[in-house]
Amino acid sequence: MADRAYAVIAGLAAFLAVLFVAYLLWVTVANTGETWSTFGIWGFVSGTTWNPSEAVYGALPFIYGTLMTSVIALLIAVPASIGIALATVVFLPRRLRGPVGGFINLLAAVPSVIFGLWGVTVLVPLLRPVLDWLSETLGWVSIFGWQPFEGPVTAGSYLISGLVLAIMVLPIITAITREVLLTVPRDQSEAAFALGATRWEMVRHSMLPWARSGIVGASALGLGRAVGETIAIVMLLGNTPGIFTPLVGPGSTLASVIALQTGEASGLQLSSLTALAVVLFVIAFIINAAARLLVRRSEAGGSGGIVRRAGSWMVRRGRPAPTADAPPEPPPIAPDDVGAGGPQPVPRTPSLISGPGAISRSRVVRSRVAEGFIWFSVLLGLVPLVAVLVEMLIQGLPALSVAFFTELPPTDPTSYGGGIVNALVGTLILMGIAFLVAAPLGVLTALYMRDVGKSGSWNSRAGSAVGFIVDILLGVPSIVVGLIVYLGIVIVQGHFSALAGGIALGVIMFPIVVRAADEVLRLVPSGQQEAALALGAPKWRTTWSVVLPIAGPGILTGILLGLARASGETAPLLFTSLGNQFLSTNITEPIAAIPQLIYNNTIITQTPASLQLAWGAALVLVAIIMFLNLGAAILGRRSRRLEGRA
Amino acid sequence: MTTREARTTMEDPKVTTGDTQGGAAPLTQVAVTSGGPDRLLRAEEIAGPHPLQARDLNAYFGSHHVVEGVNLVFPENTVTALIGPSGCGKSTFLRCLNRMHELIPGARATGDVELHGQDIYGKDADPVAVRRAVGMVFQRPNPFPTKSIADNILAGPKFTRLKMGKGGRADLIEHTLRGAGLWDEVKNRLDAPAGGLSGGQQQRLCIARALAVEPDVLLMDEPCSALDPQSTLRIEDLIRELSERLAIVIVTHNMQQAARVSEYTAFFTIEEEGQPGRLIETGPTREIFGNPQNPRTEAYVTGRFG
Repeated sequence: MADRAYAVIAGLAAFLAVLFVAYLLWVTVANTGETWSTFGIWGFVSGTTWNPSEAVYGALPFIYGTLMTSVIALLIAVPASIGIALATVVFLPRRLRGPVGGFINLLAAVPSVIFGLWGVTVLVPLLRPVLDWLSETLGWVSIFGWQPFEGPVTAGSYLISGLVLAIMVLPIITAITREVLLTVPRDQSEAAFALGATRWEMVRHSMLPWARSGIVGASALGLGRAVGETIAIVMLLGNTPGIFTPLVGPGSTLASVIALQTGEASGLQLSSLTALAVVLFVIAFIINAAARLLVRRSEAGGSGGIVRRAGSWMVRRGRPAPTADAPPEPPPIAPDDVGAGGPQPVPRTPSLISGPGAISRSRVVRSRVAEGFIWFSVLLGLVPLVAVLVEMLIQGLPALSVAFFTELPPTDPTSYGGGIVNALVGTLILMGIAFLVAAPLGVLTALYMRDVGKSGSWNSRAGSAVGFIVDILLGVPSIVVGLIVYLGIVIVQGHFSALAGGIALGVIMFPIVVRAADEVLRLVPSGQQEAALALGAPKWRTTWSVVLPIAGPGILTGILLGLARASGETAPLLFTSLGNQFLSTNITEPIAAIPQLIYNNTIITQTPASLQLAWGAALVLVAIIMFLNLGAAILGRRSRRLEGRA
Repeated sequence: MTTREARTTMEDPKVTTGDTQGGAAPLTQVAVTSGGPDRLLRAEEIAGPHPLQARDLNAYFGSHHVVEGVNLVFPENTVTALIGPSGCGKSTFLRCLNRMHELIPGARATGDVELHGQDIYGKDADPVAVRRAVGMVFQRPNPFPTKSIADNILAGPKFTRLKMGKGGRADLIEHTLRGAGLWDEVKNRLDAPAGGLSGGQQQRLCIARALAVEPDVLLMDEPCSALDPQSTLRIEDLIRELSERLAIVIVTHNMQQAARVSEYTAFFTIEEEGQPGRLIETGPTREIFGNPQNPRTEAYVTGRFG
């Protein structure tokens, strides 16, 4: 009976999650109806004009902007990521591989808004001369009438946005490429080495061909991340929709226009913005699905999967023990040239193994150049990270004081001092709500998927359907979540609230928790559960006192990672929790958040004083995220031990 | 006693000229006593010209000593088999002969290995050139699965940047595939990916690939252990043919195989778990199997241990 209750509760959680997704979907469909009927789907997607004052809405300039920034980002990030991944798998001294890889992963923990802040205050002024020079010397270049470097150079530009975007997607591409490279079997690299390959030649002929589809998949996942990126683009690209406009000038993307216009939009404009969100979601979904397919296939056996299959017939032979009555055959040839003077074998020029003749000069040069590129990639990955961290410490530390944690921001944006107590409390409250929404629902959903259904049963089939929905949720850009929660909760309720913001963050966190919990539950040895069941324990008791204690640390890891991700988000808060200049603890009222404070202080009130407050806030935000990640890493290590046992 | 009797029935007077009373066998280097120069000299006498020679070779994994003080000579145009129980260090020793051992994290080797008189562990020696000169075939067939059969053959020459015309490449492919006895089976699908071949074919392709860079010595690490009996026999025939052209060192778990393909055999063993592997006895294969001098060798080859 209790087992029934357990199944019902877990199922209910999963059902609730699905129901909520369905509600948001319905809200979206209902809201975009006006756009589709006014312009037609194709008319909207291919429309080149976006003009609210004339009520004409077309998506093409934003699709173009999204793809252009993403392509620039990938052109920089993909080679650099492959270089860094190769360095951490093959080229770096062994003891440096882990630390460098971990350091690059730190980049992933720095929230988008901080890259925006760094881009606006450091990178844009720094690269301004470069862009000016580009425009002066290459301004005449014309590709079918498109002049990518034609002035005037502006503060916001495609090139800078693409560069910052590259830094942001670099860690994810690097991490997955690294994983894929590590699955290349050792016998493949040994095959190349045994033929006399240098390290680079081994990489080029053995590792890269094997890992190719995985690397393509990793790049596609990076692309999926890049197209959904919002707040850094809002801060660095400007707000000028256009097609084939100069790269040194401003533009606009799907995500950035949603972020900038949703707050003041209504009617057909809001409907069209929602339609843009749908377009963005579809693009991201297609990219993510393709990417996951490629990565999964590659990790399952590399491009060399054929070999594994061909090897299935292989017979592992035991060593037959010869006995005295089966004497070994005599050797085929008895060496009879004892001493000197026997017939000499065919003379062979001995191979040189040292000196200039041993390896040809062009090989040495080629391998050096390739390795040089790899070291350059490592620098490219490390320099921005170090620059951001150093800048944050230099600019942020002076802002920190006791008052910073207890006072409100100064009302006059030009005066120094004050604090961020409203944003700090706001962020903690939002994280609390997100936790309450996502953690119980996420864990119960994972239990439903993994623990409740017997294979083949109705529950198990429903479980895999839920898994599919979770995977889709995982790829929804956060700005789209923000917009839909705005439509589904804020507009329905008639006011912005901390609750809406927390729910938006919860929606982002939910799939992370489910996936993490699902992974750990999969690893719980089935023997442990059978042992408990064999003692007569009911299913729910087994889960409660055997499965959860084993899987606990892993599940907590997922929750902490989800919280870390949610705490740095800005985009979904813009039109849900809105922001608040004052300290508020009322969850039905608008509330401040640290990422949003950084955004406002950088873009809206851009004074030296507001920037100093922003850097201080950035430092606090990164500290919170690092703390959560550190906790996750410690717990993660404990649950990896579980993996060893499974 | 049976082996003693067997010895009298065997005739191979030329190689059994040493004193048989000295405890240590005549033509045997007992590594424990660290073969002195005279022993090596004697080994050289038997061997005739020899492209490869190991002197006091030690191998380690981190602080774990896995091969201790091996002295061994590999004669030209012959097959030398390394036999011994699992974990005795014979594969590790083999991988020291072309500096593949050091590719494993924490692995290192001391001592020297001379290739035509050049120390491959010398200060100036380039491991890349060493591995070109001393080829290797592995336990599991490891062709580059996505490359075509032809490109697998050309992989090594591509590294060494041999200048070849189109005709030269075609000749090399045909020559090496014929050498590996694979030509007739694959000549019509040279552009097919190597991953599609059967296991035995893949292993012969790997041998052809190794031959394409014209190594001085070919090392084979249990090349048949992942193959079915028929493929095994084909590879063994191939080994015998190849031994007319170069020195081959083969690690095998299968004593009948050692007896079938090799002229010389070296027996390795370990005292107990955690001890380094040592070379116990070496000599003409017929001697090792028919009349081993060391009781441990005898126990192993008669199947009483290991």
